Amino acid sequence: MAATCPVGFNVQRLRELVRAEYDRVAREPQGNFHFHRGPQYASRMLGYDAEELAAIPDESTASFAGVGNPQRIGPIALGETVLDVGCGAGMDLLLAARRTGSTGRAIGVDITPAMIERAKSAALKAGLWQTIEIRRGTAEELPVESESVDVIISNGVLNLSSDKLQSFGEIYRVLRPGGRLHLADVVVQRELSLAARSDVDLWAA
Amino acid sequence: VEGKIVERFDCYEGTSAKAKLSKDLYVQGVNFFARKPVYPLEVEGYPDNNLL
Repeated sequence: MAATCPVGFNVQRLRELVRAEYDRVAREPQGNFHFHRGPQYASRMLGYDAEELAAIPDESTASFAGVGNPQRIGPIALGETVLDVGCGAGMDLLLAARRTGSTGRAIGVDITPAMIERAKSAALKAGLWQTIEIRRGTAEELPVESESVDVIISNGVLNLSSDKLQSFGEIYRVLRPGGRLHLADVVVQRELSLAARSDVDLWAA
Repeated sequence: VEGKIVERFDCYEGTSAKAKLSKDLYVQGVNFFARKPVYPLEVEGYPDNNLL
Protein backbone atom coordinates (compact mmCIF):
# COMPACT_ATOMS: atom_id res chain seq x y z
CA MET A 1 0.00 0.00 0.00
CA ALA A 2 1.10 3.56 -0.62
CA ALA A 3 2.13 5.21 2.64
CA THR A 4 0.90 8.72 1.95
CA CYS A 5 -1.21 10.46 -0.66
CA PRO A 6 0.32 12.85 -3.23
CA VAL A 7 0.40 16.64 -2.71
CA GLY A 8 -2.96 18.16 -3.62
CA PHE A 9 -4.87 14.94 -2.98
CA ASN A 10 -8.45 15.57 -1.88
CA VAL A 11 -8.50 13.83 1.51
CA GLN A 12 -11.99 15.02 2.36
CA ARG A 13 -13.37 13.54 -0.86
CA LEU A 14 -11.60 10.26 -0.14
CA ARG A 15 -13.22 10.08 3.29
CA GLU A 16 -16.63 10.86 1.80
CA LEU A 17 -16.23 8.14 -0.85
CA VAL A 18 -15.06 5.58 1.71
CA ARG A 19 -17.98 6.44 3.98
CA ALA A 20 -20.44 6.16 1.07
CA GLU A 21 -19.01 2.84 -0.15
CA TYR A 22 -19.12 1.19 3.26
CA ASP A 23 -22.47 2.75 4.08
CA ARG A 24 -23.73 0.83 1.06
CA VAL A 25 -22.03 -2.36 2.28
CA ALA A 26 -23.83 -1.90 5.62
CA ARG A 27 -27.24 -1.26 4.06
CA GLU A 28 -27.04 -3.61 1.06
CA PRO A 29 -24.46 -6.31 1.83
CA GLN A 30 -25.89 -8.47 -0.97
CA GLY A 31 -25.35 -5.65 -3.50
CA ASN A 32 -22.83 -5.54 -6.32
CA PHE A 33 -19.29 -4.87 -5.09
CA HIS A 34 -15.83 -5.64 -6.41
CA PHE A 35 -14.84 -7.43 -3.19
CA HIS A 36 -16.18 -10.46 -1.33
CA ARG A 37 -18.39 -10.15 1.74
CA GLY A 38 -20.14 -12.28 4.30
CA PRO A 39 -19.55 -15.24 6.60
CA GLN A 40 -19.17 -17.91 3.92
CA TYR A 41 -16.36 -15.92 2.31
CA ALA A 42 -14.80 -15.44 5.74
CA SER A 43 -14.76 -19.13 6.57
CA ARG A 44 -14.00 -20.49 3.09
CA MET A 45 -11.28 -18.07 1.99
CA LEU A 46 -9.93 -16.54 5.20
CA GLY A 47 -10.04 -19.46 7.60
CA TYR A 48 -12.57 -18.16 10.13
CA ASP A 49 -14.23 -20.84 12.24
CA ALA A 50 -17.72 -21.33 10.75
CA GLU A 51 -19.21 -22.47 14.06
CA GLU A 52 -17.84 -19.43 15.83
CA LEU A 53 -19.24 -17.15 13.13
CA ALA A 54 -22.65 -18.79 13.52
CA ALA A 55 -22.75 -17.39 17.04
CA ILE A 56 -22.38 -13.82 15.72
CA PRO A 57 -25.58 -12.04 14.57
CA ASP A 58 -26.16 -11.99 10.82
CA GLU A 59 -26.31 -8.20 10.67
CA SER A 60 -22.65 -8.20 11.64
CA THR A 61 -21.32 -11.08 9.54
CA ALA A 62 -23.30 -10.18 6.38
CA SER A 63 -21.44 -6.87 6.03
CA PHE A 64 -18.01 -8.31 6.76
CA ALA A 65 -15.59 -7.21 4.03
CA GLY A 66 -12.17 -8.00 5.50
CA VAL A 67 -9.15 -9.19 3.55
CA GLY A 68 -7.45 -11.43 6.14
CA ASN A 69 -8.05 -12.93 9.55
CA PRO A 70 -6.67 -11.14 12.65
CA GLN A 71 -8.07 -13.91 14.86
CA ARG A 72 -5.39 -16.29 13.50
CA ILE A 73 -2.43 -14.00 14.17
CA GLY A 74 -2.22 -14.57 17.89
CA PRO A 75 -4.22 -15.13 21.06
CA ILE A 76 -6.23 -12.55 22.96
CA ALA A 77 -6.22 -13.23 26.69
CA LEU A 78 -9.05 -12.88 29.15
CA GLY A 79 -9.14 -9.39 30.62
CA GLU A 80 -7.19 -7.68 27.84
CA THR A 81 -8.23 -4.44 26.18
CA VAL A 82 -8.65 -4.82 22.43
CA LEU A 83 -9.11 -2.05 19.87
CA ASP A 84 -10.54 -2.75 16.40
CA VAL A 85 -9.50 0.05 14.03
CA GLY A 86 -12.28 0.31 11.43
CA CYS A 87 -14.55 -2.21 13.10
CA GLY A 88 -17.28 -1.98 10.45
CA ALA A 89 -20.33 -4.04 11.39
CA GLY A 90 -18.31 -5.61 14.18
CA MET A 91 -17.57 -9.22 13.23
CA ASP A 92 -13.93 -9.18 14.33
CA LEU A 93 -14.84 -6.94 17.27
CA LEU A 94 -17.44 -9.39 18.58
CA LEU A 95 -15.06 -12.33 18.15
CA ALA A 96 -12.41 -10.40 20.09
CA ALA A 97 -14.93 -9.53 22.82
CA ARG A 98 -15.73 -13.23 23.27
CA ARG A 99 -12.01 -13.86 23.82
CA THR A 100 -11.30 -11.00 26.20
CA GLY A 101 -14.40 -11.81 28.25
CA SER A 102 -16.38 -9.75 30.72
CA THR A 103 -13.23 -8.66 32.55
CA GLY A 104 -11.78 -7.13 29.39
CA ARG A 105 -12.82 -4.44 26.94
CA ALA A 106 -13.31 -4.44 23.19
CA ILE A 107 -13.36 -0.97 21.64
CA GLY A 108 -14.38 -0.45 18.03
CA VAL A 109 -13.68 2.69 16.02
CA ASP A 110 -15.30 3.35 12.66
CA ILE A 111 -16.08 6.27 10.39
CA THR A 112 -19.37 4.96 8.93
CA PRO A 113 -22.56 5.58 10.98
CA ALA A 114 -24.52 2.74 9.35
CA MET A 115 -21.74 0.26 10.20
CA ILE A 116 -21.59 1.55 13.78
CA GLU A 117 -25.33 1.03 14.17
CA ARG A 118 -25.02 -2.55 12.90
CA ALA A 119 -22.13 -3.26 15.24
CA LYS A 120 -23.97 -1.83 18.25
CA SER A 121 -27.09 -3.82 17.48
CA ALA A 122 -25.08 -7.01 16.97
CA ALA A 123 -23.22 -6.50 20.26
CA LEU A 124 -26.52 -6.11 22.06
CA LYS A 125 -28.03 -9.22 20.46
CA ALA A 126 -24.90 -11.26 21.20
CA GLY A 127 -25.01 -10.28 24.87
CA LEU A 128 -21.62 -8.58 24.60
CA TRP A 129 -22.71 -5.00 25.12
CA GLN A 130 -21.05 -4.69 28.54
CA THR A 131 -17.68 -5.62 27.01
CA ILE A 132 -17.97 -3.64 23.79
CA GLU A 133 -17.75 0.11 23.25
CA ILE A 134 -17.97 1.66 19.79
CA ARG A 135 -16.71 5.13 18.97
CA ARG A 136 -16.88 7.18 15.80
CA GLY A 137 -13.49 8.22 14.50
CA THR A 138 -10.70 7.64 12.01
CA ALA A 139 -7.47 5.68 11.98
CA GLU A 140 -5.57 8.96 11.60
CA GLU A 141 -7.06 10.36 14.83
CA LEU A 142 -8.01 7.47 17.08
CA PRO A 143 -10.38 8.55 19.88
CA VAL A 144 -8.49 6.39 22.38
CA GLU A 145 -6.20 7.17 25.31
CA SER A 146 -2.44 6.76 24.87
CA GLU A 147 -0.92 3.44 26.02
CA SER A 148 -4.29 2.00 26.97
CA VAL A 149 -4.65 -0.98 24.60
CA ASP A 150 -3.14 -4.49 24.79
CA VAL A 151 -4.04 -5.67 21.28
CA ILE A 152 -5.00 -3.74 18.17
CA ILE A 153 -6.80 -5.58 15.41
CA SER A 154 -7.77 -4.21 12.01
CA ASN A 155 -9.00 -5.87 8.84
CA GLY A 156 -8.91 -4.24 5.41
CA VAL A 157 -9.04 -0.68 6.68
CA LEU A 158 -5.60 0.93 6.72
CA ASN A 159 -5.33 0.62 2.92
CA LEU A 160 -8.13 3.22 2.81
CA SER A 161 -6.23 5.71 4.95
CA SER A 162 -4.98 8.85 3.26
CA ASP A 163 -2.03 9.02 5.64
CA LYS A 164 -0.83 5.60 6.70
CA LEU A 165 2.21 6.93 8.56
CA GLN A 166 -0.12 9.01 10.73
CA SER A 167 -2.37 5.97 11.24
CA PHE A 168 0.53 3.75 12.30
CA GLY A 169 1.69 6.57 14.57
CA GLU A 170 -1.70 6.51 16.24
CA ILE A 171 -1.53 2.73 16.59
CA TYR A 172 1.86 3.08 18.28
CA ARG A 173 0.53 5.83 20.57
CA VAL A 174 -2.47 3.89 21.92
CA LEU A 175 -0.68 0.54 22.37
CA ARG A 176 0.76 -0.17 25.79
CA PRO A 177 4.49 -1.01 25.87
CA GLY A 178 4.62 -4.67 24.82
CA GLY A 179 1.21 -4.38 23.12
CA ARG A 180 0.54 -6.31 19.92
CA LEU A 181 -0.72 -5.38 16.48
CA HIS A 182 -2.78 -8.07 14.72
CA LEU A 183 -3.27 -6.46 11.32
CA ALA A 184 -4.90 -7.83 8.19
CA ASP A 185 -4.69 -5.70 5.07
CA VAL A 186 -3.80 -5.70 1.39
CA VAL A 187 -0.36 -5.38 -0.13
CA VAL A 188 0.97 -5.10 -3.67
CA GLN A 189 4.25 -6.41 -4.99
CA ARG A 190 5.43 -3.13 -6.49
CA GLU A 191 5.00 0.61 -5.91
CA LEU A 192 1.82 2.09 -7.35
CA SER A 193 2.18 4.75 -10.03
CA LEU A 194 1.69 8.43 -9.18
CA ALA A 195 -1.43 8.39 -11.39
CA ALA A 196 -2.89 5.51 -9.40
CA ARG A 197 -2.03 7.13 -6.08
CA SER A 198 -3.63 10.40 -7.26
CA ASP A 199 -6.91 8.74 -8.21
CA VAL A 200 -9.25 9.24 -5.26
CA ASP A 201 -11.74 6.69 -6.63
CA LEU A 202 -9.07 3.99 -6.66
CA TRP A 203 -8.13 4.79 -3.07
CA ALA A 204 -11.71 4.47 -1.93
CA ALA A 205 -12.34 1.23 -3.84
CA VAL B 1 9.31 -1.81 15.88
CA GLU B 2 9.70 -5.05 14.01
CA GLY B 3 6.87 -6.82 12.29
CA LYS B 4 6.31 -9.65 9.88
CA ILE B 5 3.75 -11.02 7.47
CA VAL B 6 2.58 -14.34 8.90
CA GLU B 7 -0.04 -15.45 6.37
CA ARG B 8 -1.29 -14.53 2.91
CA PHE B 9 -4.78 -14.75 1.36
CA ASP B 10 -6.09 -14.54 -2.20
CA CYS B 11 -8.95 -12.42 -0.95
CA TYR B 12 -9.82 -10.99 -4.38
CA GLU B 13 -9.96 -14.35 -6.14
CA GLY B 14 -13.05 -14.47 -8.32
CA THR B 15 -13.91 -10.76 -7.95
CA SER B 16 -14.14 -8.03 -10.56
CA ALA B 17 -11.27 -6.27 -8.81
CA LYS B 18 -8.98 -9.21 -9.55
CA ALA B 19 -9.86 -8.99 -13.23
CA LYS B 20 -9.24 -5.24 -13.41
CA LEU B 21 -5.90 -5.12 -11.65
CA SER B 22 -2.61 -5.60 -13.37
CA LYS B 23 -1.30 -9.11 -12.74
CA ASP B 24 2.17 -7.95 -11.76
CA LEU B 25 0.69 -5.87 -8.93
CA TYR B 26 -0.44 -9.17 -7.38
CA VAL B 27 -2.75 -7.65 -4.79
CA GLN B 28 -3.38 -9.98 -1.89
CA GLY B 29 -4.48 -9.91 1.72
CA VAL B 30 -1.96 -10.53 4.46
CA ASN B 31 -1.92 -11.14 8.19
CA PHE B 32 0.77 -9.02 9.82
CA PHE B 33 2.08 -9.12 13.39
CA ALA B 34 4.09 -6.51 15.29
CA ARG B 35 4.77 -5.73 18.93
CA LYS B 36 5.49 -2.37 20.55
CA PRO B 37 8.81 -2.47 22.40
CA VAL B 38 8.57 -2.67 26.18
CA TYR B 39 11.42 -0.21 26.62
CA PRO B 40 12.51 2.59 24.31
CA LEU B 41 15.95 0.99 24.07
CA GLU B 42 14.56 -2.39 22.97
CA VAL B 43 15.45 -1.94 19.32
CA GLU B 44 17.36 -4.09 16.90
CA GLY B 45 21.06 -3.68 17.19
CA TYR B 46 21.08 -1.88 20.49
CA PRO B 47 24.00 -3.48 22.36
CA ASP B 48 22.45 -3.60 25.83
CA ASN B 49 19.10 -5.20 24.95
CA ASN B 50 19.96 -8.32 26.91
CA LEU B 51 20.75 -6.30 29.98
CA LEU B 52 17.29 -4.74 30.26
